[in-house]
Amino acid sequence: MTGKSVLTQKDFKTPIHISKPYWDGNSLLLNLMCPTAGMLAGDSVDLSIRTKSEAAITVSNPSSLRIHKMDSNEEANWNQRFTIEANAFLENNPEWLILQGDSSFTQRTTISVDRGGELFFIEAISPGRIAHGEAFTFRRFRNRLSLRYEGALSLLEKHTIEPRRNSASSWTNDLGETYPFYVSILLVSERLSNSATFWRAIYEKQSEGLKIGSSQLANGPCWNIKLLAKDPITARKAIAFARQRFYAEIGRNPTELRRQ
Amino acid sequence: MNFPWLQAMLQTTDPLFPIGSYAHSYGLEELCASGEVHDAPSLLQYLESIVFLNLQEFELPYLRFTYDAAAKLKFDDICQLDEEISASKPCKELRQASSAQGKQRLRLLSKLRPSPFFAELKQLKLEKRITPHHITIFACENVDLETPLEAALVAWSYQTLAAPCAASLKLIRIGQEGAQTVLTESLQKIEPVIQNSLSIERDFAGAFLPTLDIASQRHEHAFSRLFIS
Repeated sequence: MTGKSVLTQKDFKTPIHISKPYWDGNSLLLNLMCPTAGMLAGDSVDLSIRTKSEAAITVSNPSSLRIHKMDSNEEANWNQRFTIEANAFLENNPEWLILQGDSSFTQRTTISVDRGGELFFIEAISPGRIAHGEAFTFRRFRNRLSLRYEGALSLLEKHTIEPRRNSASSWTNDLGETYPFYVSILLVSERLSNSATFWRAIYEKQSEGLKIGSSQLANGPCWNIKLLAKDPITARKAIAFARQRFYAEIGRNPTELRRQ
Repeated sequence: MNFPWLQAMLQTTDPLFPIGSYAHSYGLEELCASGEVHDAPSLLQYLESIVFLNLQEFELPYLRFTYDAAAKLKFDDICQLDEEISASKPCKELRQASSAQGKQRLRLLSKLRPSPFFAELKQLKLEKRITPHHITIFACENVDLETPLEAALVAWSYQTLAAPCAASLKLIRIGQEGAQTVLTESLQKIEPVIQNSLSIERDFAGAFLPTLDIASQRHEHAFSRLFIS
């Protein structure tokens, strides 16, 4: 870090609002909000964030992103691209993506990290309004995420989940109890190369109501933590644990997200 | 008889063909350790809810994409597909299981049935343009043998279902007959899985398998393990 990170360019329109940035001495906090009730049929978002060399940014979405019920021939789209230049840092820490009943949603995420860049990227998905007894009644969720480090493909996750076509069977877990709250965290840093104790701590975090694992990805200093939780509080605690340990490993201070 | 490819396929899908598949459980060991797979019915449930989904949404489509690219001698496409297969596995153990078997299969085939096609694949491996993964070599091998695509898809499905059944003998109380019963029942239901896989497009070809991914990620850090994956 050579100094303060600043927002050099901001451009948005409905249904997205980007807050004023806040510099806390560690990272530039940017709140990205969907001020409407969520994503409705025909809504489309294109998001592009570039973190320039040496800059540090934390992108937070303080409220859940709800995908609402829509007609069978409709869908909503979200396309996001993150570029992290050399020695830059980006944390993407959104609230839950909630796939409500009879919704159809396609999300495409492209992440490109240059050499020396660092990343903490959360994807948190709920298959409905679980507290209201709504689970796995969304129509279709298509998700495509690619992560490249120095141009080499490190992770490519893509799938179509249609519960009515039985393609959610690993998520509903036909082998036992359902852990509906799914979280995937991507971690990138050259400073994670000797972090055996970190991965051991993640392994030992598994408990009643939480399944959690970690592994290195195909290319570069890139890792993935996956977890399934029975309830959102357990998931949130596991995320907070992983986040705190990650920041300690890479020698940075986490930004206060100003949300619970 | 006019199936010149059949004898070669029988040889290379036989457990006797030494590509090391006996050393892998592909995530099953951890699911047995957690108690989720513990007997014949739960093994069948595992095959139908996780292995079927992975076959239908990921493995069979990628076998087909690679088969098509190999049939047109599009080696750049084969390299790209191999890279995508690698990146589609968020667990190091599953990635290494696939690459170890792919490399061994290529090495053996190059020795047993040398062909310009395998020579080209070996060159791509030398240049680090392919890993190669097991699906990649299996697809190319069957194009080289002129195996019809449908037969190649059935053979891959058989191998994929037989491997966890073989591993289950060492992991749960099941016995040879019990494992064969589960394999038979799963094979009787495989046709629609293969059929459905034919309509999967590359843009979203992939399976959402959080239960298996986490089990495999945890297996990597387990204190004691019987299988490599």
